[in-house]
Amino acid sequence: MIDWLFFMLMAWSVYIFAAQAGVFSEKSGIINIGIEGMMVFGALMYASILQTFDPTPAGNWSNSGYQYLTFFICFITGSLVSLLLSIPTILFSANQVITGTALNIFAFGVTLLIFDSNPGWGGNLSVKEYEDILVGGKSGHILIFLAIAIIFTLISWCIINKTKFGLRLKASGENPNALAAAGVNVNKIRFIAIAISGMFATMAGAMAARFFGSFNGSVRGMGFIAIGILIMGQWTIEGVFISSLLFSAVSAITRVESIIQTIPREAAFAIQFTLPIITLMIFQSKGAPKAIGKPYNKEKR
Amino acid sequence: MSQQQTKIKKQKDWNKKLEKPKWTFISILIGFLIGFIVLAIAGYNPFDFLYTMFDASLGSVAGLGNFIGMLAWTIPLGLAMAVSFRAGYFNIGAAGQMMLGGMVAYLVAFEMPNTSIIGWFPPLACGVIVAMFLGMIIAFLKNKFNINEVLSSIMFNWMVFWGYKALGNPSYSAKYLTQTHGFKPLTNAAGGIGHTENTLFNEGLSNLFNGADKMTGGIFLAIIAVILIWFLFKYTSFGFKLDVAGSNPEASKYAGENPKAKTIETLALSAALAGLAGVIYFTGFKSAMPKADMNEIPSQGFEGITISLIAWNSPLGILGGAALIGMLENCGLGLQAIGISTGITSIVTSLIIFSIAISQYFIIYNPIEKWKKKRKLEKEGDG
Repeated sequence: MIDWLFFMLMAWSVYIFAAQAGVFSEKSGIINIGIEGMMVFGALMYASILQTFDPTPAGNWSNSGYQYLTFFICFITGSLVSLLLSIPTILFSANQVITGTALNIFAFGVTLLIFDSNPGWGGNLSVKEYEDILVGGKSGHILIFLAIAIIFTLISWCIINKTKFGLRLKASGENPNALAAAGVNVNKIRFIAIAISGMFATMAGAMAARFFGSFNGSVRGMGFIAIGILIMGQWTIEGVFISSLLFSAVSAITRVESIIQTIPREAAFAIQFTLPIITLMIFQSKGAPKAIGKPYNKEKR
Repeated sequence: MSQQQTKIKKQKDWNKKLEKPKWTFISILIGFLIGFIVLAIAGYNPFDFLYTMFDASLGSVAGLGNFIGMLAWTIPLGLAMAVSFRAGYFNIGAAGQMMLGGMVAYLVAFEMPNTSIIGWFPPLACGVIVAMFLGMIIAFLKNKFNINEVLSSIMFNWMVFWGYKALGNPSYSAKYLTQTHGFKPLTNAAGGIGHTENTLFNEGLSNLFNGADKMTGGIFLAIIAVILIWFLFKYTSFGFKLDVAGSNPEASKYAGENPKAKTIETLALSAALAGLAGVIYFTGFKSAMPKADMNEIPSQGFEGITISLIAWNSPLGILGGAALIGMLENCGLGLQAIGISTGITSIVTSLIIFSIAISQYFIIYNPIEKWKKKRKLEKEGDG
């Protein structure tokens, strides 16, 4: 039971970041199907940094303070990864869903290439097993993760609801033409939003590697669950914050050995993907930004 | 004078027609070029990759047989995406529909002895029909609850994926199905659902192609599918209505077409084609379902997007797109033999998707032409 609680907190901090990545991009009017691919990049970055630069044997770094430096590096790289989505969709008005899908395939290919060109890794990068933290009585790291996640939630809530930038962000998703008429560069707002989205997504990926205890080339659909959370939270930071708790409770089941003796772990994962559809059946997609999915074009004003 | 004018007009029309293939060609070149650069950075020789790509498919009779087997599933998959794109939908769920089709075909083939010559028909029909139902569920959710088809099909992809894993997990399927209900064990020694004796479509054909184990009779079904879909869009009102619904939904509505019926028709047709591709891929081409301990949806399901983007959704163009993607996918074994990662095929595919998605900007808004005009005007102003 206590295991389940801790895994739930861990998964919660992953989903908070992943779903907020979705909020920032979709609020600005860009569909981000590529959260999964961005997360894969983040997890790859995190696990490979630990593997390459860890001077101590077998991943002691991931239990020390250095991991927060690694997280920070992942966080910053996210803005570079986000260019893969933002340049085609914003500068060249490309179809956002197609670009996001391409991003996912690209991440899959790059990970495979990097794993194959480093045969020493053996196709699986182990991040120090999560249980070790619990057994050693050092649950502090989980609480720090959660604290970071909650602080970021507060910051992004303030950004979206209390600042000028947040207002412009929402306007660029609802009515970009009105925003442009007010003299604001819509593309610039969207570029910043996607960069924030990429940073949050890579951070979520790094935490997902922590959650699974290893990284072998995928984050098992957590990026798509994040899209489900986004819908369940009706495109708001506070909604996402609460609904990700529900999803993390289900996700945590899959990591607790005593529960998966009776329920198939796979079935628990499958259930998560029915939740967003059921939510949409009940609540409809009322909170969705109006200009979502449409490339902004000055000529069509 | 007028003759010259018609000549110029013809030339202009021709140029307009060539615009799309031209940009597609450039996009494919860019995709390969950046792929080469990535390979070079990773420390491989890019020209080995290029040589292997052609050699694997065209270098030997067995390779050619495998390549044809590859076409057998890439063509229906490309068609599935093309149908949905033409009618204005994005059936990203092709990957899940493929898996479901293949899985159902295996489960049906598994319960019946596959000895007679028509033994392949019931598994095929069941696989296609079940995949079609999945498409219809997605359409129903869109009609009834206004859920975007992209979203629901992504969720269904992952439900099928985890459902397959649950079914293929020996500790559960053995426990609940075999012991309690007396089924034969579902999983094989390799860790996937299905047994090699249930392999469909392969008998005799692989011997014909010098032992090409991936050659499958599904290629005939694929050719039939291309002809049917081409005929549908070229000569029937049904296809034309789908086209109109995609290119101009308002006009379609005004002409009295029921958009909800169009949704169901399109997604059912698209999902059925994806199911066909799945049955051919898993039973004929692969001769096995993927291992149940995989951790990623088989990426082949997303190749359909690339194929139909390359073909600009034209049923005959699908042949070209399928050939290119088929060649890319077919060189996997050859690449492993010379030590190049197979990840490069995914990278090149995704780069092609990126560049085609970008190239549509150049076709629609034509910034180069505008820039030239601007330059010309400026020059005239100077003169």
